[in-house]
Amino acid sequence: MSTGIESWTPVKEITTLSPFAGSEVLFTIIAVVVWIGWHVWQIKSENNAYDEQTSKLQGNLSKAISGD
Amino acid sequence: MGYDMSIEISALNEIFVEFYYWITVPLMFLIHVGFCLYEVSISRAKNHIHTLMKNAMLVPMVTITMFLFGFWIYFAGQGPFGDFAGGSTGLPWDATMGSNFSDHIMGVFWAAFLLFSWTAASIVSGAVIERIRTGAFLILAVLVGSVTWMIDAAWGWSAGGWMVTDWGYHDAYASGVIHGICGGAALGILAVLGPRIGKFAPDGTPRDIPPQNPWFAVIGLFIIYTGFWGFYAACNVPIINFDGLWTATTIYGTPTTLSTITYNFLMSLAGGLMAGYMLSKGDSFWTFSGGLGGIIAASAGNDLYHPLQAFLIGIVGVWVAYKLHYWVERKFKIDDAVGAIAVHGYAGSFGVIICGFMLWGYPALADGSATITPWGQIGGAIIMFFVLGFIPTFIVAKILNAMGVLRIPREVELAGLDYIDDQASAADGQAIVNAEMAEANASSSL
Repeated sequence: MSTGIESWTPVKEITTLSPFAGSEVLFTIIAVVVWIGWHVWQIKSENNAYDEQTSKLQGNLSKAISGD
Repeated sequence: MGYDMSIEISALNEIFVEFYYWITVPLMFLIHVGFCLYEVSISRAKNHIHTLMKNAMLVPMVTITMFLFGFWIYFAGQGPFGDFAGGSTGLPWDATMGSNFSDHIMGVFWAAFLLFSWTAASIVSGAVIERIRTGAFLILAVLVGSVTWMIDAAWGWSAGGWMVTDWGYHDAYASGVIHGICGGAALGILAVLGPRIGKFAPDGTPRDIPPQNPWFAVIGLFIIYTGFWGFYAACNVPIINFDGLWTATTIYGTPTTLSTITYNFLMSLAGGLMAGYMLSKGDSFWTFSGGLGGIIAASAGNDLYHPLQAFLIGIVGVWVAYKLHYWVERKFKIDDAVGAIAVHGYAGSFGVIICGFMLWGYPALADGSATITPWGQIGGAIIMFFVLGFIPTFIVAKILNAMGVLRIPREVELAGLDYIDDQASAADGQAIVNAEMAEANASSSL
């Protein structure tokens, strides 16, 4: 079994070096999903973090600002 | 069989060009290192880590989007409304966008453009510190780094771009296509985001929020200067046969020399430093920012200026940027934490416009089919700063603001973005000390 290249000779006949040649569109779709998904996750995570921080700061804000 | 020396020379030239661009990439990496150091140093201690992470995470977000569609925009968007049927160059599945023996150089070109993209997003990053949410910033970073700057590069930083072929737009080292657009983009966000709490007194008088570490901020700017060398180098074709003369050319294919740009880079830096020092009476922040502003102001025409012209343009550009910064700050209550709009936006736009007067009548393209003019440059500066800079980020920032995800909560801003994490770290540290003390007491009682 081979995912791509089985011999380096003759090297001039080799074009694509990466494995699974021909699946670039599929990898593009996966990468787009990962990219968008990361933004969504990051924004949700950040919102949750700020909600938590805001609740912890209730009543402690003056102390936090003064650095005590 | 005869020995064909021309084949070897041709191969050597190709290897030299590939290596030349490859070297520019790690040099340009220093720009981002400098921006990180500079931005963190300008922020207050209570916001350091958040500021660092916001800037650092633009790197992967802009990188993946530059691979997915940013580079394709450059090749597909040469006309005013694009030329999207123009082939697959730059698309993620194109043969040149991967490990392929049929192409040895595209990845290095991509990296050079990518490093410009990081710079573009990083310029915006500094202006908005201490109150923007990381998630919102990263969306805006993708917008600037992988979309709008790539459109402006397609339009005005390519021999085939319509602004070059139709208007004779000339911007050899990106006064407008990087700095002008990013200054405009920062202003568009800040107009929606608003100033940091306490920046303006109740009567509207601006207060100075001094850098936490002015010394490190200056080191950051020094590192940016160094990286800027790589940027200048990457803007050239290093050696090419131009009408029988072996010389360097700009991205437009017009001739220059490495000597010219070396003179002019350093002379415009000198002019900017002197102007910044004089205007601010020796303030380190404005002096070093002035050095950067001087280079940016002269960059549009630094392929052709005389060194003394670059020097004087650097001085005037920084004077314009400095005066505009404080006028806009007072008039519109814009809190630009690092002076990015001034150093990049105003100095860059000035640089584009003055280039139109200095190089009036010069051929904008190698074949002489377009000519540099003041009106072409003024139109270009407006497109860079307002049309592709200000307007897109203003609209997206408005949308993010309406969704409630643009600005951090007031309580978090007052306490500091790192406050809760710092408290948790302090508690963890104390718990460790307590545990160690208990262990020591137990050992001594044995």
